[in-house]
Amino acid sequence: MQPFFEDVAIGQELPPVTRRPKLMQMVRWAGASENLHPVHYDPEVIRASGVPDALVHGRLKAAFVTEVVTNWMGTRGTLHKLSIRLLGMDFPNQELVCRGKVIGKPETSGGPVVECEIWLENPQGEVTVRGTAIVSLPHRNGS
Amino acid sequence: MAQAGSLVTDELKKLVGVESEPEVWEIEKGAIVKFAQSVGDTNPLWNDPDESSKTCYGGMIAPPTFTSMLRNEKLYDTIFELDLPAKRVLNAGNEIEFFEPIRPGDIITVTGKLANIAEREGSVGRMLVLTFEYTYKNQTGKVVSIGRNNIIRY
Repeated sequence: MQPFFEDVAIGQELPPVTRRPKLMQMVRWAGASENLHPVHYDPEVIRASGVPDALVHGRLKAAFVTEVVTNWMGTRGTLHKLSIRLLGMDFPNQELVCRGKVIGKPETSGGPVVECEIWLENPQGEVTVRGTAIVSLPHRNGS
Repeated sequence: MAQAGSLVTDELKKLVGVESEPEVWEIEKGAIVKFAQSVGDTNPLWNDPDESSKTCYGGMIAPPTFTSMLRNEKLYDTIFELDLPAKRVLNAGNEIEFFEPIRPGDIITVTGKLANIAEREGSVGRMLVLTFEYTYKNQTGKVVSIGRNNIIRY
């Protein structure tokens, strides 16, 4: 359902997005995005890097958390700015829960916007991605 | 001369602000769909020509994180090939501003530069934070997006 600017409240939570990436999905994303660094799939390189398993790409996790915003804002919402900080490692076959919350409705030179905080939690309870998104939403009066 | 004990080499300092050669990407509809499917993102705007044609965009557009594949290879290679005292590479995050959607058929020109170097003490010891800035222009010369990427060397 398309949200309208007037109906959005600060503190409101956005519907979460849950993903459990398998190695196959990571390889598929690596191919589709041509980010082919082997620490994300090659057992030898993974061992040599001293990490316990293949690393889920930071940019794939960024794509997961971004979906929280794009799913919620609907086709009439516009994303203006996305800031993503990658804070920790994640590994395949773990449930990654992406969440979001409205933290502000600031006035800008281009009109009022909605600021959301977005983040990703892993099964260990760590927040490994944290960011913000600035979006504009349609108004009830049609503007 | 670089400061004693500093991770910032003279070679690195010289790169700051130097604009890369432009790299040109032709945006194919199939590449957008493949990217969205690999993420598992089913939004009709980047998956469905019919559904997206009924929206205010009048057709398909690329998802927000699609610019992560529109790299500037030459600049990207310098990240990994720079002979720095700090050998290991980490992607610390991105900031992307969106001005216009990217659509199938667009010709996107990507230029980039090393915009800033910062040296910090972090959980992994002394590290360098390299901020790369990318500008994406479409075939009409409009800047569709600006991206900043923080790469840590430690």
